[in-house]
Amino acid sequence: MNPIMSLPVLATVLFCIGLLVVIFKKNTIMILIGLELMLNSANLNLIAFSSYRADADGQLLILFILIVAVCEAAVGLAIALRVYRYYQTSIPENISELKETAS
Amino acid sequence: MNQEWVLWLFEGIVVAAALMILFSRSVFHAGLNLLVVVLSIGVIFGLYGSEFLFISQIMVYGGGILVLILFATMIVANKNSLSSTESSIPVLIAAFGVIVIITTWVMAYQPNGVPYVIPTPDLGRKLILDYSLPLEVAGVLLLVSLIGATLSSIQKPVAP
Repeated sequence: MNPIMSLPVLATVLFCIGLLVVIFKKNTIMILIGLELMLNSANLNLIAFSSYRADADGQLLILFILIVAVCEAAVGLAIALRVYRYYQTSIPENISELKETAS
Repeated sequence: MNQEWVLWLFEGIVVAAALMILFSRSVFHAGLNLLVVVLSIGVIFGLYGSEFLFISQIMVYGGGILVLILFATMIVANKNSLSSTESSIPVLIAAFGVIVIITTWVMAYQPNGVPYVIPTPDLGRKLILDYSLPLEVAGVLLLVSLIGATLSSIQKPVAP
């Protein structure tokens, strides 16, 4: 296989694994790790097609994706911390207090 | 590209560590495997000739996000949150099916060409000249989200 073509395939596999982590794991931090995997697979696609087309725009987009990934991780982990302090759990399925407290 | 086998090696490391994330039961081990994944992706960036993204990936992911994730794991994860999947058989079947189907679909598209190395000065010039407004907006977004994360994760809410 062409080495430049092996990178989108790797990105596809990584995106699928990240999506499956988001679907199957129950912990909030594991879901955030799956999101990071999906962002990294987008970065792999961007660098492959950036060097294939000899265009620097894709690599700059990788930089902005890195910045947004930092923001997402910081805010997501702060929310996870806050939720853990209030509900004493980090599993989103157990947080169901909003559902049936109408009394 | 004479360092092609290095590329294959690190692609294999990325896939193996990502699968270990998918099948690991401990959140801490998953965080360490995420470190392996992001460092190997940084090496792939370096193999494609962009040293700046290589350094950025190591600093941002290895230095920033991984420390955040491991720190939050030490606070949040307790005994009843460790077993994070019911059983691994449905995960295995779903992983195999999804990966095979979508990878076959992607492999049908086969471009030909040699990778072109974009020099780092071009990247910096384009970042300052063409992308200065998105850079400023991203900086403001980073500042706002970091201040918000700090304020919302301290112990007591701030008195107005």
